[in-house]
Amino acid sequence: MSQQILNMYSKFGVSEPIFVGRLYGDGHTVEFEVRDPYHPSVDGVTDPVELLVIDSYNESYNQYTKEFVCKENVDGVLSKIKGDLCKIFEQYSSLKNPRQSKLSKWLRWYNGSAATDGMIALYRYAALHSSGGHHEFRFDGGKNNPHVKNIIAILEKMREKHEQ
Amino acid sequence: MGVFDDKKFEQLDWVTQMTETIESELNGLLARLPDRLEIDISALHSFVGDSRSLSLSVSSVVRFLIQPYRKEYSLSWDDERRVEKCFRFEMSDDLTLDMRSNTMTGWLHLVKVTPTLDDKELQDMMGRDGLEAIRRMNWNNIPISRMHEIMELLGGCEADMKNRSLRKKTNAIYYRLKNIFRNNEWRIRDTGLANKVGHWIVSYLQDGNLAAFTNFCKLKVMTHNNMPIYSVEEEVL
Repeated sequence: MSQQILNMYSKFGVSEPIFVGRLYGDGHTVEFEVRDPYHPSVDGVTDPVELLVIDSYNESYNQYTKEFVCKENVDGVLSKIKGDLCKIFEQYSSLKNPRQSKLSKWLRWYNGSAATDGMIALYRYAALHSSGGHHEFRFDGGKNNPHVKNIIAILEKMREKHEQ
Repeated sequence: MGVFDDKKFEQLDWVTQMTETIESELNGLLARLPDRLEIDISALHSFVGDSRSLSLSVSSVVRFLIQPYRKEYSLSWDDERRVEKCFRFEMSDDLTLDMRSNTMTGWLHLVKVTPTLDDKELQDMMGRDGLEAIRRMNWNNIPISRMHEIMELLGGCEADMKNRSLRKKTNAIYYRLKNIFRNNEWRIRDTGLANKVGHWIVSYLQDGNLAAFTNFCKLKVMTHNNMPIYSVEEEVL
């Protein structure tokens, strides 16, 4: 569990529990939909991790408290981060079959918490130096891009340190 | 009073006797359900779930309305579906729920759009429960003689009587009875009575219940009166 990501969720609001009714199925069903659904704004947000958290925003209505509750998805966000780092490695590695490498396997199967802060920082670094848009990672110069080399080297160090 | 008298038919008004309208307890139940029911916010709380998109179906409300009558009416799953189809929701355009202040703007009603099930629909349902009982019946070890007795009374099963397979004989009974209802051959005009026929057959075939067989025989005799049949002087099973 990452406290950084959890803290991001605490900044979000939730929808007001006001619903409008709509008839469906020729009058067999009434659906009550949120009148003004809340979704966190991406305006002014530059942190790529926060953008991931906003993408994964979800809430559920609690029938007993009659309020909406934000559903934190820390594992989902971390999974996306690991997935993107893995894709960067597999795309830019000089190995013939990077998917079979120890690093790729480690990234796909790692579910500990010791390396998460490091992965989050590395993700930010990758996003900062990528020429692609949000959630797209492209590095000019390909494998020879110095930032790509840095990312892969750091990932290898992390694997050596945290692999059981 | 003779054993083949149809007491229920005699009590019907002359219009029903002439038109041979199908009698069904479902119409009796429908008549007892409200024509229009206002659903207020407290009722909504008890019906809807806790997902982000709350929803309310006619079936959930109708099931709630039927609940007090379950002991009085033996309703199959199919019966309940038919009753549900008789209802619709109507609502105002500005229907809004504010769960925080527990208030509702606008209105929501459950409306009975079909006050009675018509004969066409009831004919389609005729005898289904009893037919289902025949379909579920364990035909192993049923004496062939009993099978033949039923098949003879049903008529139209001569070819299958020559067959040695109990399964095929059971199928023949099922399909013959189904056709009798579909074509209204025996002019049974009460859905409750129609459902009992299949159960009498099963009861006699599986358990040798003579009271059930007697009832079935009485019914068959009454079909020769060339009159619609609403009831049979039943032996207690």
